[in-house]
Amino acid sequence: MRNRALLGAALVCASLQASMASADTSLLPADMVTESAREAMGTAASAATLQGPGQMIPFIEAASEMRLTGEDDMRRLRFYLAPDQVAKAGAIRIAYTNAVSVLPDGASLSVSLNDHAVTSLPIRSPQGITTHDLKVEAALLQPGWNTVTLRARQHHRVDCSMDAVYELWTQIDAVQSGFLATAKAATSDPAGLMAAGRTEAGVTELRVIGSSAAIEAMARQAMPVIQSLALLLGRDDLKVVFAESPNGNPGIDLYLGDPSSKMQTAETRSVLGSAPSGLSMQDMGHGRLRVILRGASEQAVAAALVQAINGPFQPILNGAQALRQTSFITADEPGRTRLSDLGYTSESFAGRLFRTSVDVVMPEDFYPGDYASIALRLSAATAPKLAPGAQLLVRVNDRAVTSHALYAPDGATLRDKPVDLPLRAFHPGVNKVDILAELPREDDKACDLAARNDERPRFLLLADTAFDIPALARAGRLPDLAAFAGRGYPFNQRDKIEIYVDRFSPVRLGAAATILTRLALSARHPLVADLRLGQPAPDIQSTALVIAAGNRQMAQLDGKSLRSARFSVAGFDTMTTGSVAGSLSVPGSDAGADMQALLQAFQQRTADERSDPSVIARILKTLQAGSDTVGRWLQYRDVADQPPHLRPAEVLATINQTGNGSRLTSITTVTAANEEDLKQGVDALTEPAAWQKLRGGSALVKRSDLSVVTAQPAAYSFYPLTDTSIGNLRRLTAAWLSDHFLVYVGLILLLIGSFGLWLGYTVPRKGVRTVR
Amino acid sequence: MMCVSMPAIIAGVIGLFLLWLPMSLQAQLVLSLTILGLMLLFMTRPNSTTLRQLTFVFAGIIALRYAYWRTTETLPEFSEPINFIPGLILYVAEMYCLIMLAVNFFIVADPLKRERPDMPDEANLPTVDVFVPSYNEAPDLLALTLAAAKALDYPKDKLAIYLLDDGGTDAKCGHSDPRVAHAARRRRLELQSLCQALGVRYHARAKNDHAKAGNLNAGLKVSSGELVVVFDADHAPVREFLKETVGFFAQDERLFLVQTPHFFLNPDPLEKNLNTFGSMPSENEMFYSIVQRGLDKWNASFFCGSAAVLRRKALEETDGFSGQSITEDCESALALHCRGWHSVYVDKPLIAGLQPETLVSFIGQRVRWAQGMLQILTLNRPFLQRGLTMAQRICYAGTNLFWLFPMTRLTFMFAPLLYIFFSLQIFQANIVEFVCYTLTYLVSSFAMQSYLFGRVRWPWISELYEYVQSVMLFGAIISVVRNPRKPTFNVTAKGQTLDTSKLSPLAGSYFAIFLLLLGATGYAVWRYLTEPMPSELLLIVIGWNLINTGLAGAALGVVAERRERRRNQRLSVQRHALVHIDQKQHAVIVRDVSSGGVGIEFFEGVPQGIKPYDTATLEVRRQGKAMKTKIVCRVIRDDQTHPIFGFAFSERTPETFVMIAEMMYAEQARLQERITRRQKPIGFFVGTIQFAFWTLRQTLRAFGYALGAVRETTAPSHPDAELDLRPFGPTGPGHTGDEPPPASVKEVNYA
Repeated sequence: MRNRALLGAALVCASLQASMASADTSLLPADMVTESAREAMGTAASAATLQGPGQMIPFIEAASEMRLTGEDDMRRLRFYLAPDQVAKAGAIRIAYTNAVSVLPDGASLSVSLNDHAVTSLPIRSPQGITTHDLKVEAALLQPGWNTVTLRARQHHRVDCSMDAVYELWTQIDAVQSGFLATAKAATSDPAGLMAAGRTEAGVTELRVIGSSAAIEAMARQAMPVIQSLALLLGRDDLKVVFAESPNGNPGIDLYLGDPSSKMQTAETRSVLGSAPSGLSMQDMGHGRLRVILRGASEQAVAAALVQAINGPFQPILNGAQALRQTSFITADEPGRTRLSDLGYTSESFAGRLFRTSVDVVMPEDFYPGDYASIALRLSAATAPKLAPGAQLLVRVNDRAVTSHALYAPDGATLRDKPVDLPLRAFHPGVNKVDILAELPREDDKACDLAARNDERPRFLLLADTAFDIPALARAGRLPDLAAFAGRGYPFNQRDKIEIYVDRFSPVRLGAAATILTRLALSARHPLVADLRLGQPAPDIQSTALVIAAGNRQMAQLDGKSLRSARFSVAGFDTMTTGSVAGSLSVPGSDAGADMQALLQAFQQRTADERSDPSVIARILKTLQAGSDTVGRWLQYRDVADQPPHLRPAEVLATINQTGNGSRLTSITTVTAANEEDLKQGVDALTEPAAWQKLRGGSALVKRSDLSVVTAQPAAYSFYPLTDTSIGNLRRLTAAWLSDHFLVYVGLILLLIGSFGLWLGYTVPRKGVRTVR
Repeated sequence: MMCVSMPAIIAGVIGLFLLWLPMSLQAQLVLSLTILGLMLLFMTRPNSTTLRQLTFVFAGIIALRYAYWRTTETLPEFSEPINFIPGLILYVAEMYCLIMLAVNFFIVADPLKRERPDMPDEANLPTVDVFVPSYNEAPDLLALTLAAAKALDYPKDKLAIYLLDDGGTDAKCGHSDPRVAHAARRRRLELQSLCQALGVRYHARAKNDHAKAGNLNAGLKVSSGELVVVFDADHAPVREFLKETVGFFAQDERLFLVQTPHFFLNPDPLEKNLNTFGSMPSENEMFYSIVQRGLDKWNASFFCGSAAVLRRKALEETDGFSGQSITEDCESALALHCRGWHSVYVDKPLIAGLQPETLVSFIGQRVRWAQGMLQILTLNRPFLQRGLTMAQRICYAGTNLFWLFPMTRLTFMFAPLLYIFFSLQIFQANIVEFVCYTLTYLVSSFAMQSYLFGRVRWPWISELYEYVQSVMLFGAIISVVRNPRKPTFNVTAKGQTLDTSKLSPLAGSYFAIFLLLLGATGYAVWRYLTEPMPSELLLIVIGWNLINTGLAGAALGVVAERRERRRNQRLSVQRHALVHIDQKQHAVIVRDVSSGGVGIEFFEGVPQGIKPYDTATLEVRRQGKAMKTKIVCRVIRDDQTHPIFGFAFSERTPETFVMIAEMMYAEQARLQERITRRQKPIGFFVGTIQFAFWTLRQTLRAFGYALGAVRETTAPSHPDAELDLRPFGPTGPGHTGDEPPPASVKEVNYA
């Protein structure tokens, strides 16, 4: 019965839509967050919640989505208001800091609310966070979801080169920014849930409060609830914590169960006892909410949850779904999406580097390959007198895939110009496509800041620029962390999944629940999870998530696989990341590729100390470089794909997938040496930007900088095909054979060669015989 | 057999499916390089039929991959008509080439080499009528052909020679223009005298209906031989002609045709003007040495208008030779193949003829061929003809479709200009794709060309011939496509001479195109050097245009015509003879012979005091019978080990021509030697370097001609001796009998 109720909740929530907005790749640099800034953050946070009847409603976007880069950038941030809060209006609170290199004069941050201009702020806070409260009229607000549009225009202080543009950024603080409502939402209004604040770490904590003695039962009961809350909140910076008591931080304290239950502590019993049956909320101030789900039994709790979601919370979900449809491209079906459909508006650009980004969400069973390409149908115009070198770059997942010269002395107009984006650059889940236009002028070299004319545009990208999505090859693969992170695959395919922990401890369960909520957000519906102790049986035939700390065997296994597999570095820009220079040696490693990389690194570092090489040496070197380039190209690798060299001690945590798709067996394992490592590791893995970069068969978190390094698997297995049409089979065949082109060549030789041999036998016997 | 065929066909179909997959560039490159490597390996065993088929299918893999990529990836957007339309034209041109490639592979899959069959007993030999159709060729040209025909090694009672004179028809003799009528009557008289002297039957019909086909059909009506042999007026046969061909008819009662190659004594304009005659294989050798043999395999070798034996019974089924198109030969063969008759091709040169010397006559000939073949394509539609086997349909369709090459050649010549001058992107590709698909396809194509035709066609020569013809054929093709029944039969002028070297009257277009291409190359290079970010495509286009400019430059050499004062074409022979000088007899070797004279080597010592203008008597013996004629020394070429004395015939009677035919056409081996000597492959790289050298040199020579910088001697050449004929007397209406001897007429014939 309990299962049925949970299943029912899952089915009801199947239509829930979670935000899948794009994630930028870089967080606020640690060195920019000064002590004073931290103090200011705390002060501001306090101030935001200490204004009597008012209520701070944070934007739902995570910090990584609040970074405005380059000379002209735009972000859309959303918050949710109850009708009462709209009526009494309030203020938009913008807390930000910016790069030191941003020239204060003329740098501005335009703020619009629901497409109405509110004001423009100067950008001049390089030393720490500055907060602005911008009062808005009630007429500009609307009950439900509201959108704040921020557009930063900023220039470099001293440098007018193209590279300098990449140094410009303004970071909106996700903790303090939001809407400062004059009135609190009524306790019965679900909008109150959206007032949950973020901790200083920038995460939304969801604390499940209960007795540690009954943590297993509490976790079982909490799993569907926390997923539903995550989907309602729509935040992908959610962290689940199991605790016996609230810690006073912003976030949500979740109480659930029956006050008479022996599992509850005295405090939880008291809270539950004072709450009505079903779902209720209490604003505890400081961005802290108390969510209580009271029910006499597990079934009653589940029923209360279903009732709440189908009832008062429905407008939140419906609104979020509507917003989601205009925030990214879903590539499940072939078709065309214009930038205007995603809220982009045509506006002329006067800077040196134009940049706009689009998220393309690929289906979970998308098979990347060269069988087709996404056509970016570009409609744009360039101004006259751009300098040579003006070009359009398209990057997919931070890797440049194509470039086109934009240089035309008298300007150029491009209408519906197709630019092919190879599907091999994409992966299942969320893919970020950056359209960049580098637009230098000759007079940039003089770098006369006073002479800069922002009224003289250089580029215009029209909103009818479109993306044509082709028919994709569809076959679920295992392992594929990109599908796992992007669409919750294969967890989203099963009626029920299994979660294994090696011990029922708050940290382990918190890690499991955090990952589960991320999977629910990716899958856009709650997952029915069965919590188990230990490890899955070798012959398991289900989809399992395994959380383990202190499992040395697993860590060693991961270390081996990482050393032998091909790696890709998840950085901001893999095109410019020095993959070899920063690498460390792995004692005892015998991988030929590693040795070659080390040798190259050594030669690069000592190049300036060598005498001038002979002509022959130069030719040999050039040939060697050419050979290396061709070799990498034939392996579908870039320079950035060189494997890093990591000592096992440098690994904080790992995640990897194993199993067999054809037998519907999938095990995703997160391991760390101890609970502390596990906690940090899961925090790093589930950080929104890092989560969207998961791909391949395994990944690890580096202890030194908490960056995530992914590794391609040696081989894939496939889930049974759901699309067996000829077209899909053909695309799949092409994709697989392209990846294994020696097989392709062998097959062609065998098949066509057999045909040729038969012709060799037949032709002399046809027509006038030439053999006796 | 089925248990082998079915799996092989299934494997081929699956392989085709795999080739149709949208693969990565990496896969494409590895596949192409592997295939190319294997192809080159297979090509080292040219005599293996199995490896030959494997080479074809492997070349087909690369071509199919290219076609797939070209179709799916490289076409401009339909929404950009300024790019799309020219892009589509280029694409269609390339697809045409690919189709022709496939057809060619089929045709030359397994070329036949026929063995000479045993001749039936003399009593069972069929009767043979030899037709020599003529329009207005000079009597001395006809005299040699008729004399050679008369000398054919065949029972005399079973051999009849007919001169079918369309220049002396009743209609012409009674023409309303008295000058035309007079010339026709005079011609008739001359030729009747010639025929009487040689023992040949003269026939002139009433009217010139249906040109050559009508003339031959008229010949059929006045003759009755079981077999009919056709020789053009300038096609003199060797003595063994019938021995090499007639035996096939006894082997196959359904055989209607035995075709033999056309061997030419003189160079065509390209060979003459580029100075390649004798050292490079002639243009037609590719067709006669390989393609016709390939067609023969599929019972699709066709009648080429001359040098062929046909069965009268078969011709009667179709009421003689077909005359709907202006290439009656191919059309007649098609009609008979449709009725289930067979054909045979004998790859031995058994006749020697002339080809057009000047560019104007050369182009005129090709216009007729192109229009005639396209008439057959549109009016007869060989691919849909009932009665043909599938193989024959493919062969005929391919043979006819070939003549659309001017459209593709000009497309390839001008396509790069669209990018160079207007930046139109009619071919969407980057440099990596170009390397993986286009370059490998081009390498494969050149390798196959060398493999299949390297012996008979040097690199870039096909392209040059195609380009030279394309410029002038383009309009003719458009005309025939618009109105297939419009073209009329134009005879090809042959035996022309050119007193001075000069530009052809057609040269203007070639110069204009060359200058345009040269300018485009210069502009493209300037663009590449000055544009800040020149595209990779520009580099490719520069290379492409440079090749086109080279072709156009070499073509300038073709239109800059060298003078041709030789009236009679020599044939090298090795014939023992006697020369009588001042009552003294000298044993000599006749080294070369022409209608005008002989080259003689005195191998037992040069007679004392012999010098130009000395006279002598040449004696040649055949089967114990001596033939003599008077000769006069014209030149002594002593730059060799043994000096060669050039003698001209002092008189040219019918008997002289019998003797000339005896010396020239007694042995087929002499013709074969000449072909064998020049059929040597030179390889792609050597050929390319040589072609580049020609381009530079010929371009400079052409511009020299254009600027009037021609330095040539003006020494007069000696005229040939007059033809000594004794006319029967006036037969035509209005003939007075006291006209002056006929003036020299331009020689034209049907070929």
